[in-house]
Amino acid sequence: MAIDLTENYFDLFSLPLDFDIDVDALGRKYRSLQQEVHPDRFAASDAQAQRVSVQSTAHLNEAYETLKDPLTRGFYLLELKGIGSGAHEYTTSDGAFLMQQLERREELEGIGQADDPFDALDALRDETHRDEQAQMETFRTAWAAGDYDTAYDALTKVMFIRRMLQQIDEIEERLEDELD
Amino acid sequence: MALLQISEPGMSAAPHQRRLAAGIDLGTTNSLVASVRSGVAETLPDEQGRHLLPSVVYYREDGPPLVGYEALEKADEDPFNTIASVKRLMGRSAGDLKKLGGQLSYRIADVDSNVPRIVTAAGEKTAVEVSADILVALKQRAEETLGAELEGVVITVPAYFDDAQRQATKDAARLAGLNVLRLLNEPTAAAVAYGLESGEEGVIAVYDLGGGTFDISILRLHKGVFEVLATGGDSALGGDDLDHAIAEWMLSSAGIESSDDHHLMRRFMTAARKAKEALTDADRTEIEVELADGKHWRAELTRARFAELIRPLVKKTTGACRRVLRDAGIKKDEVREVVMVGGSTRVPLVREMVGEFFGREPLVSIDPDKVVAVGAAIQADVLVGNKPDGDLLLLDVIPLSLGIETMGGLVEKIISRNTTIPVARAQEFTTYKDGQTAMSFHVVQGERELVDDNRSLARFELRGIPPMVAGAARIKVTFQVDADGLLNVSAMEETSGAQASITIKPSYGLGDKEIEAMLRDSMEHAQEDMTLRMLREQQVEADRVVEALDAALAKDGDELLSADEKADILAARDALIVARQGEDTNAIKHAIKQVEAAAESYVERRMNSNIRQAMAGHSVEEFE
Repeated sequence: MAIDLTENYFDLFSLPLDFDIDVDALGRKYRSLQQEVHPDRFAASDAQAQRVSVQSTAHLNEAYETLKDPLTRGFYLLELKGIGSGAHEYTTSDGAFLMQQLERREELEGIGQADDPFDALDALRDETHRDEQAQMETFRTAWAAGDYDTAYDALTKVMFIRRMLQQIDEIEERLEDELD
Repeated sequence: MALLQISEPGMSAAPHQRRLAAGIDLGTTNSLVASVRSGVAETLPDEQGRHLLPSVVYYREDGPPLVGYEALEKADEDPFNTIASVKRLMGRSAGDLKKLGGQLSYRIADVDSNVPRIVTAAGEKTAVEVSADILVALKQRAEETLGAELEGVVITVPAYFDDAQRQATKDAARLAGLNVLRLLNEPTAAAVAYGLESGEEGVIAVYDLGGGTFDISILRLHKGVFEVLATGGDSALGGDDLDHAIAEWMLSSAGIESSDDHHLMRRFMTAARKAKEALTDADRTEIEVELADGKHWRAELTRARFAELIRPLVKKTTGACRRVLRDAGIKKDEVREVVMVGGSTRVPLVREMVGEFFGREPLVSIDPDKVVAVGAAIQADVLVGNKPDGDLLLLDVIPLSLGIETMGGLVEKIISRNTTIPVARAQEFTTYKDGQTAMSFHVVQGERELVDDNRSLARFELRGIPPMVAGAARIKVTFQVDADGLLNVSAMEETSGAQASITIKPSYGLGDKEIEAMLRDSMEHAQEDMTLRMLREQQVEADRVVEALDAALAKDGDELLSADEKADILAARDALIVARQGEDTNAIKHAIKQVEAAAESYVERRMNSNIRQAMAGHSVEEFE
């Protein structure tokens, strides 16, 4: 069997087109579709069937990755509404938010000098996670109200926050290596 | 053979419809082939009952290569033509080889090609060709044992193998005439052999201590997906080092300083290996070695003493385990199962220290030499279609990120590591100059920011872009990775109606064309080999004719022949000798016929004279 590559990701997994989805149901449907289309099922078939299988599975994997993460799921929903699709720049004009991010970053850069840098990193990470949750909440409300510009802005901010989390991990790794 | 076939409802009971598939563990030191027979996955032995096939190939001038134990025997007398550990060269460029440096005991041809070629008596060989010869030996073993042709195989590769190494492995299989159903990560195969994929979700550690390499892999099993979280190890640590530790102790107890006597050293190493193996089950063992002066040295080695000798080596492996857990971001107590792979994990101290490190008993019930091949066979059986209702589905992830070089030597990642495969991702690029009609791409693999720190997979150029202002062209680059982790990249200009696209297959400099050339080569060589053999046969035949004729002439030539008759026969004989020196099989054949014709009446006369005995042992038929 082949997957309809034009079907939207929510239909593919038989899910309602909404931000709040049943993530367990998504996983179950993903695995059962994998059972049907994965190239391993066509290892003994002809080249044509194998090509279709690779395409279908690649599409399925992409769809699953997109819906699994609330951030990419959010962007995908907006894309379906015709917002931010194609080449887009992730920028925000929210000065207060940018200022806060700058401060966080400065804090992170100086964290090696803290009394217990690992405790300080944990605290900063918790704080940043809370920022992310707050922005996702903003998205949820804006999406429900049909305010897509605000929704898009919230997701863009999550991109900044994710980058920050990544840097926290990198700094932690470096500090650990220095201890060895 | 089963006399009665009892089948579950809905399951086929027709044994003839069963498709033959095999799992192949293509190892650095040893290789194995396994298959599922009567529902049981087991490795297949050779005629002497040996399951392991040493991954060694011996090349000679006149004849097919020797593979396995036969090749191993040649290692001493002809090291340059005995190729071992070729897996270390798979997918490596000539540049990579320089980094491996002095580790290689064979000669690399100095040609200007990306692919290093080993100089042997049978010509230059690439690592792919040497591996193909090993695969052919395994294929033959499987087909002889199973009694039919293999429909497909699963070949295992280390989890850390990059795209070029995987591609090289697939190329070797193609060259060996094998249909590869799937390349499978070795640690995943070991986990499958233990049926772990059907168990609970969690983290699995696979500890693989082989003859000359040590690998530790941390896998996460999550909803049917085996994700390789991290791999580590030591490419120069293995069972051989344990033997060395014992041999050193033996030499110092025997009061011998390391000696140049190669044979003596070999006897010590052999005795050390035997002692190591004996101590798997026994608490103590007697060691005896014949010294250079013919006297015998004897000693007793206890398991406790042995443990003391090798403790520092085993400690090195648990140190690597600690590092890899950190890389994976996993705590020791999160590891649910530890799978033991490789012959050296039979050593009691290894099991004990690994068990202590992870705080749980490692899994050892499947022979650690065979466990990878067994897992591969189980997967092969499913893939070839013998278990249509089976739900074994292994989803792998790519081990290293794939990206493209951008301005300033930076890497733009297109597909990041640990993405479930197969996967396809596209990214748009644009021109940076007005009127630009071509764009070159450099595909790299690795986690580093700078291109130079990553592995270069391929470069290609997209031409035929319609001239536009800088930044107006839209070039879509698509990366597609198949279920084996192999990459295809294509680029397409899509603004205007004009489209141009190119597909490349990165493969360390060996393109499809080169592979085909190799295949053709090997077929032509088969033809050459055949021609050569016919020539040799005719030459031997010529020698026999001349020898028999000379013997007869010496005995009664002057008696039975006139001077003219004898001169005719001798002329034909000399012509044969001249032809025999040449390489023309037909000329030799013809010259033999001429001798036979010239000597026809002579032969008749000899028979009539009842002197057949003179020709006894040389058979008269030669003159017919």
